[in-house]
Amino acid sequence: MSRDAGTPAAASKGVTSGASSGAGDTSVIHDLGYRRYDGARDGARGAFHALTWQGIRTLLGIGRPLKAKAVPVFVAVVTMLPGLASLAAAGASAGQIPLRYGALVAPQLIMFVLMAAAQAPELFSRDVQHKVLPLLFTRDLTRDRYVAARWLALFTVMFAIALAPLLLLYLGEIGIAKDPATTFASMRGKIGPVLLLATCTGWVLASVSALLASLTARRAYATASILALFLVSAAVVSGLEKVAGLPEGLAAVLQPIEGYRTLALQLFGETSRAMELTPPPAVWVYLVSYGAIGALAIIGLVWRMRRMSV
Amino acid sequence: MRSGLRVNWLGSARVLVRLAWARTGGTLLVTGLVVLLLLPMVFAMIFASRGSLSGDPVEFLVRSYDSLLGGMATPLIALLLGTSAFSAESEDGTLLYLVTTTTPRWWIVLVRVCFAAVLTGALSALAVWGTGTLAAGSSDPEGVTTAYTVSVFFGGFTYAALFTALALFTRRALVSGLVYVLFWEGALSDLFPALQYLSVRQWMRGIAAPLTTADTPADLPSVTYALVAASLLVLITVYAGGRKLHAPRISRMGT
Repeated sequence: MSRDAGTPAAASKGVTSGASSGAGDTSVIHDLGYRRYDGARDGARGAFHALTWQGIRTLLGIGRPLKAKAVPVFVAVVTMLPGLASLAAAGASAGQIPLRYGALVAPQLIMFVLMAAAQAPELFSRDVQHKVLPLLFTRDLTRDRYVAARWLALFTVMFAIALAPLLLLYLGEIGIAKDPATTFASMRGKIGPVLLLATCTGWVLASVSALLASLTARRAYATASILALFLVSAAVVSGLEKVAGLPEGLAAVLQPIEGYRTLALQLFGETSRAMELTPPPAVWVYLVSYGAIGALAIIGLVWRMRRMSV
Repeated sequence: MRSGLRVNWLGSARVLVRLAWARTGGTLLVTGLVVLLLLPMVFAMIFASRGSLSGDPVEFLVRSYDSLLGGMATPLIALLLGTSAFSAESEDGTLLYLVTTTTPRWWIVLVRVCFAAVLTGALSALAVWGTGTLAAGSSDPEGVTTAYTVSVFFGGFTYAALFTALALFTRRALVSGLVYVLFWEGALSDLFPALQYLSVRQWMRGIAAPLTTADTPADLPSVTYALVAASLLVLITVYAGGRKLHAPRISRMGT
């Protein structure tokens, strides 16, 4: 790939140099007589946007056959149904049956993990499998930007999937109220936890699954390893807690399923019986540890992509 | 099967198993299997090291057999072994070479089911035996280790048939198998107890319960029901899978 527009050799081949958008953009498209291109040149930023947007579409199965839509649609429907059901119950009983956000959303975590495990390899493993990485890296796109674009797509989708059931509850609670304005005013404190919980889910799941998916070109292996990591870590922590007497505070944070449930309950100010017996760690402990897990996974992902030979 | 063609049953079975193993024996996969199997044994070692602090070994064993092995290791191992061979072969097109030989197609499916079943059962049984020995010595209190050994062998066979069928009939067998294990046997079964009649995990429990005197969950499917259902599943897989191989799914996309 010759990238010097000024050389005589390039000029003699008939180079169409388009309007450059960014400073320092010297990209060149050679006219080999097949098709002319004199549209806009978007440069590195355009490549980043295109890659992110294509990633989001891939993850959700937009513009792909029906089979690719199966998992996202299934997960979205299955996670939203319980919310709809409890909204219906609360509406029919005129508010006698209270809506419990944390208790309702906590069991959905395994579905979010399934989504991440099934869809993250669609981005990372497929790029390796179909050998498009060399094509991407010979453009203006650096490896770090490639990782950033792919991660951003995955994070956006995971955040949206995790937000959907919570947002449904939130809007539904306003919707079934007799006096929406008053309810809305009294519920102002709930939108923060809703966004925070979805961000946590997206942050950890997107980063960890991206790291594992970038390690192998076989999609099935990537899927299996993401789920296995999650299930095995859950089993290890709960087993150690029961058998070896792991400190409960530590176990509460490390056990993904229980930890998520406790965090969700705490954020929405709900309690379970287990929480009343042994007070769980504070919310900031969860946020710091989940933040650290996600950050470590991102560092690992960047490191892996820099070292990868394409 | 057409007459006049000699079929080399054992030879073809050997080749089929070798091919399946070549698809399965990746480092990542073997590591995964080892971790899944070692997990209950590690817990058993910790349990034994704490002596009388740990409490009743039977309760511990039932819990770890039921959740770690029956609920996690056995289905996941069967899923990996049952789906890897056919899925990979239909993806890269070598399935075509398998079905153009004189080997009957039902035999191809049956050998693959048996491969996954025997390996899953043997590995799970090894983990059961190891966990039991570590936690309670060789005494086998209340017959719990024996009961669950039988149960994981049964489960290995049933799961292997189910997941081999998935690999033949769906494009993303691993994901659909995971949906079955996590969603159907997990979340949905908690909501609708009637699903226990359609859940391999509950059949496994039903097989184990009468064989031990330890406390097991009540209201399980009967042994007769579990055996009949599992045999039907294996038969349907072999028959329908054999029919399916008359028009094998071959994608043009090589891996």
